[in-house]
Formats: sequence, C-alpha cells, structure tokens
Amino acid sequence: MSELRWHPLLQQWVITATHRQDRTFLPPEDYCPLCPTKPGGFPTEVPAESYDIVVFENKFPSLQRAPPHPAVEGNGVSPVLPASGACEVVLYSSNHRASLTTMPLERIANLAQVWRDRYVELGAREEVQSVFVFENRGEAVGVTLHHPHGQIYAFPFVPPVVQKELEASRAHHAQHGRCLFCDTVAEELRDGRRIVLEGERFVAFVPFFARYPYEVYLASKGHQASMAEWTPADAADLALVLKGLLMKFDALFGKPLPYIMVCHQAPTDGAAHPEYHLHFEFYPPLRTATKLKFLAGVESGAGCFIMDKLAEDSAAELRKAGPASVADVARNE
Amino acid sequence: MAEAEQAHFEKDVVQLPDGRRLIYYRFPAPRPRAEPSPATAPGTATKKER
Repeated sequence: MSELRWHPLLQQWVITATHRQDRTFLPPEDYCPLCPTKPGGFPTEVPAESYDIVVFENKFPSLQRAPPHPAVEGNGVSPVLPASGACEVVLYSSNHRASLTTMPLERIANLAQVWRDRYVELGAREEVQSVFVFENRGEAVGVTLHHPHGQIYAFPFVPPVVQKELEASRAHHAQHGRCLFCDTVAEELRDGRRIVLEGERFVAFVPFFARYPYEVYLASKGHQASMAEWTPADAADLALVLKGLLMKFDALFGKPLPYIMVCHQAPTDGAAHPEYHLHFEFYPPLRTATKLKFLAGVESGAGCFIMDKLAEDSAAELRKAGPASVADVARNE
Repeated sequence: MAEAEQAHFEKDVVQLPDGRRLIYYRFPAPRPRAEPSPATAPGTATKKER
C-alpha cells in the first residue's frame, strides 16, 4: 500500500509505503545487492561486471512514476493522493568498501555532476516539485546497506522543511532585497569562529543556530539557487570541501562518523526562486564518541531542539580534526 | 550556465527486467597526476608564506 495522506494539523503530507517493510536489511558483504554482478554470481541490482557511477529506481520506492491508486479513501480533513514522484538510488562506486571520505576528488566531482543531472532531469517532470538529494551513513541513522550510496527523492510537493526555509527566504528578500542564506554565510565568514573548512567557492561551518552537536552546513559562498547553476569548477571545489569535511568527521572520534547529509535547493515547481540558496546540511547523530543525541520528547513532540554543546566549541574541535585546509585535502590525494 | 561549461559524461539508460530504469554514468578516465611544481611542492613555501 502506498499513498499520500494529508496531516491537517501540521499541514504536510505523510507518505505511506508499507512495502518498504520487506526491503533488504544488512546483508552479508558477499551478498551485497549494490555490488556489480560477478560472472556466475548471484544477480545484483546492477547487471554489469563493473561500473563508474550508477543511478537506478529504488526497488522499494516511497514515490513512483506510476503510483498505485490509493488503497484508502481520504476524509473531510485528510485528503489522500497517489504517491507520485521518484525514489532513486545513487551508487558512488563499484568498490563495496569505498566511501566519500576515501574516494578520489575527481570521483566526488563526477558525483556532483550526476546529482546536477538528476536535479535537471527529474525536476523537468510535470509532477516533480522538489528534488531532494541525500545520504544516510551508518547503522546509527538506519542504514540497511553498507555499499557507498546516496538517494534522491523527487517529491510531488515541496517538503515542509524546504517550504519553511523558502518562506523565511522570501520574507527576508522582500524586506532587505538580499538572500537570507547569503547574509547567513556572510555573517559566518565575518565572525569566523564557527568556520570549519573554506574553499574558493564553498564553505563549511557549524551554524550559529546549530541543533545537533556536530551539525554542519556546507554552502556556496556566491549565490546559487540550485545545482543547475553548477559548473565543473563548482563541482571540483565542492568535492574538496565535502571530502575535507568528511575527513574531519572521521578524524573527530577516530572512527567513521555516522551522519545524515541532505541538500536543500530551489524547488522545481515552475516558479523562479531567486531568494533561495543551495546548501548541504549534515546531522551526525553523536554528541560524544559513544553517546547518541536522541530526538526525544522536546525535540520530537514540541519541535524544539536542545543543543548539548556550543556551536563555537564544536567548530573548534572540527577545525583541529583531520586536514587543516583544502590544500591539505588536495595534497593527500 | 552554458552546456559547453558542463562536464562530459556518457549516460546509458537501460530498463531492468521488472521495468525499473537504471542509468550508467561513465566519465573520462582520470587525468594523470601532475608532478608538483617547485613552487607548490611540500616544504617549498613561498617567501610570503614563510
């Protein structure tokens, strides 16, 4: 069963996708469904002996090109719609043990070009209002397959967090004539205490208003609304800052740090969004090397985050960990 | 941005037996790494950097 059910109190869609209960769960490395299909071996998702970067439609999608008719009827306060859209899986490498932290910069820049291509192609579809690129890494954030991969959801609506940022950006633009996120980046660069890593075109920082102990934003320093505006030079600089940040994450506690990485960018709803600014957000779930930050009563029930650390202290720890600069990242290739 | 500015890659779209789409992205082989020039090699900081 799969459909969209409207939450009238929060004014947002909930996606029902009961078939996802049957998805592959932590298979042994020899039976990874995301590895290439070996001659004489079991058929994986990719019918090729090797590959560079692969994208395919998820076998257990929450949103689909041709969604089933909703199995339930809506009511007076909660309408129901088919779960249209797309859920894609992006395989970063045919090497099962690779990760964004260890991949060559050139491959990460290529991946950025693939993200851009998916944004443009999926965003051109009539039903797609927003293209959402993300990666979950580590079992602590619910990963069920360890092969290096990310995902893309092409939503038939603008998801609520992006919608809220859009409204704030629109109001700021109307009042000041400037981009809210450009002003945020400028404040961070001026202050400097929360900067983690800076490239020529992109910068990573713990935002002043961070909600997770090691939350980091990675944003373009110049105004960009979406990946559609990226050039190869943007992709190359993004690769440097992204890899450097993830090296810092892994050096922080001396082990691969689990994280959720999401990219917020302009909706593909047919309207121009000059007020919006592309950025990545990272939410590592750890607050110490061994303790998780749980989203408990106040966070889950009230939507109010309680931050266990000062953003300035987190940024200082991240600056000390791993490569000191993007030049160090490039030198260590 | 102009298409000419975009990276070159090949894109092969195939249909899997169950009807799903799979796309192979192929990029040119990585460029051979250039030897660091004396000005940028480790331990050869410029006067200004010193």
